[in-house]
Amino acid sequence: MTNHINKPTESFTFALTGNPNSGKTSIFNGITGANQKTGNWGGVTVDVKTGSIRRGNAKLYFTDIPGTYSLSAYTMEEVVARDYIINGNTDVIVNVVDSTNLERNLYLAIQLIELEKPVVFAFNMYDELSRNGTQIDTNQLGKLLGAPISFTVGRTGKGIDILLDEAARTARGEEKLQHSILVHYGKELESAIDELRHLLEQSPFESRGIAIRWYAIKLLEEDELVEKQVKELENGSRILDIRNTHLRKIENIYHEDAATLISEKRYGFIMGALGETVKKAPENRIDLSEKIDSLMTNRFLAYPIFALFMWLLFQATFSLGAYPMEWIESGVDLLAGFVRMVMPAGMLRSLIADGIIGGVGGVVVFLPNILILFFGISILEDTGYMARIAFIMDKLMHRIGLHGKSFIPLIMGLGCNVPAIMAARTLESNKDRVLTILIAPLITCSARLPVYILFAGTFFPERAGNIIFMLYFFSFFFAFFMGLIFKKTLFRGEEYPFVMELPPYRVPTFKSALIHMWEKAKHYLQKMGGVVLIFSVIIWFLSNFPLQQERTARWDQKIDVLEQEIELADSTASGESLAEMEAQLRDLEIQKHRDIIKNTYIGQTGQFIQPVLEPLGFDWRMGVSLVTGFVAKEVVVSTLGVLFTVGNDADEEDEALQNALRRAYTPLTGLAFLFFVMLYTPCIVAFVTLVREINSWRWSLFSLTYQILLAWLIAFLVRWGGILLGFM
Amino acid sequence: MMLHTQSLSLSGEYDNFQDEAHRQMHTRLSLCHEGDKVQILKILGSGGFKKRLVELGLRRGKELKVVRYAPLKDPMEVCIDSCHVSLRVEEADKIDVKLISTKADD
Repeated sequence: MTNHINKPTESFTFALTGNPNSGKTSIFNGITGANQKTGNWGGVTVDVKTGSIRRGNAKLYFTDIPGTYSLSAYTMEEVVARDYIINGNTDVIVNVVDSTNLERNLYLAIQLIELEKPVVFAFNMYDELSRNGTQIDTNQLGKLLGAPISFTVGRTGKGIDILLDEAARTARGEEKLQHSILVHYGKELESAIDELRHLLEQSPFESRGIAIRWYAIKLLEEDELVEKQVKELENGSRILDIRNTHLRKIENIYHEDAATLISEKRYGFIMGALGETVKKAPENRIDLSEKIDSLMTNRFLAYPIFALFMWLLFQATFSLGAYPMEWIESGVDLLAGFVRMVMPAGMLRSLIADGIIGGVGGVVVFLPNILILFFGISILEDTGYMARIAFIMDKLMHRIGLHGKSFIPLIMGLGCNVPAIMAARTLESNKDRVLTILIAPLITCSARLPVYILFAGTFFPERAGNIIFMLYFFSFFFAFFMGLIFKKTLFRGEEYPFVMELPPYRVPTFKSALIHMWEKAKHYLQKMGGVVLIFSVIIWFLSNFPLQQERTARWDQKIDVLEQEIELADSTASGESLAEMEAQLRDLEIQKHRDIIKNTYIGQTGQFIQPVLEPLGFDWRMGVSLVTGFVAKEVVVSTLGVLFTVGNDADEEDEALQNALRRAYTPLTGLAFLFFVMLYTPCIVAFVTLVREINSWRWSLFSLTYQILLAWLIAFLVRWGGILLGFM
Repeated sequence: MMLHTQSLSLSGEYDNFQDEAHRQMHTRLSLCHEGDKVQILKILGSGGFKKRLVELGLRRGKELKVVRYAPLKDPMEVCIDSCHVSLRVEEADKIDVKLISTKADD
């Protein structure tokens, strides 16, 4: 629209805030379109999105901060939201308010106004309000609140233009509405506020352009973050002492703590203001959400319906996602093939074709899964069903100290741990998120299935299905069991309250689901690309070095000799002996492979760790295959194929490999190996995702270590338990 | 708490007494049944829990309705000013309420 080449002459920044489910994000999408950038605030994994729009001569920058019910911050997202409002350099706060629930939404609004920063209100979802006949005198209400109000409908974009004009006008200081002290908290509280305000004003207190009165009120609310800030002052402990005296006095008079009294005064003001300005229609609307809920959270239907939705999400993510995955895979293969064709043979070619293209291809391949999963998740969230999942699953998940929502990442783990770990983002509290991420990798992903099929089919051909089912059962069992242990040991202490809103059901907008999906994909590629590139190169190095030119040459010579013999014999020898010689040739090739892999760093590592695996009954070949399993779990099968000289392209149904395994190991060792594969670190990509999402090296290393230790311990118990029971 | 009430209602006579008491007495939100309308008298507990309830509109004097319990009897869903809030039974146990009406009264 803006074809003018002239540069904007002024620019303003706005923070978009509001209650969760107030339609804040749809307003943000309506303002900025897809012109958004996602960044992290203060190094935590909470997304803070920014976008901009040109309006006349002004450039307007908008930041969409996490939804919050008030400025007392508990969850990580709320801390970020408040931090941004207080510390971010915004010209104007734009508060998106759900018009259908003014009483509760204005509770945040009052606190924003108490900051004494410019505020503009967007009364959103106005269409729903006018549909039931309610009228609001926004002029009068705006005067009472001291900030302009415009009506918006986020879903359709109605009213956004007027909102933008209002916001720009306020930023320029052209708004005539004056701030005043809104809520009078009563004699005792006001005198306490006054005294604390004076004390803070006299000390070198950094208020960052926010009213000192706000800090004084927060002190009386016993806000931990402000307390911490005050404690650092020279006379901080004195201020807190005086505060405590006031608190005791107030509690003695009113038999209620100051925080409660303050909140009641705020609600008192809201009720008064709304009483003067809102003409409510008689309550006669049929609660459609309530109707849907009587089905969705019905005693008998809730779980079947939930299972159906989970099945759909799972199928869409992994079955539908398998097609584009295949295309990407063949694209990557094509590219690698092209490189092999145009580049001269050598180390560099191998590095680019096998290491870099192969490694990064291994990451890109998950993209369809992630796109579909997050499309699905955003629909679950936008419709409001996510909160119902938490509602019906909470009892179960609460036993292991988790939130009802944690169930989704665990289920997704059945397909792939990478999106599962990312799905933990839907959890608000950091504790829940870390705990969920810690146990999610224990869930058997689809890459582990080939190993299960191979070993179960080899050692328990009659009961393969039962064994595999048992493994899935145990992987959930261990996830829950470890969750319980972590809760009892690492995550003790006060639990975050579960209390949450069940928002009304809404029809999701396709646009917001798309934007959401695109964002996640961008995020995934940007963050993973670099790290996985480095890891791919390292893995490539380990599996190709030290160079074994001499050894390779020796094998190649043998192969050459045999090839020549075959050529010579081609005309003379009988078909039978020719076939025999060709078999010999294949054998030689495999032996070469095996000999070389045994001597690479990765092979050496496998052999090096063999003593550690000895008590489990694992030999060096199992050791090597487990090490290569870090690349991806299905690689365990192909490595075993190489090491058992059956061939590089062995799959889980290869009979030769099965026979070789049967000769080498007892069924008990096979079972112990299965448990080990089930429990140890899923793969490099999952681990890198985990490091990114958990955002702490300490937790990442802990995750890696505990999984390996657990795998070892359980494999040990399986083997020795079996021996003691006489299964050897 | 819940278990306790249930074990008491084994005898019919006691059950009636319980119901009567349930009607008359100030009770806890955690002891209310589906369809009960109550008024909040006081929120016990402190800190984050209390503030979160207030933010969601649950405060002294407010009326709310018990909509339902989750299929596994925990958490519960209440409706306050057409806004639905779910909370765990152990959390509802910290809310003192006065019973206004029960489902049977409607």
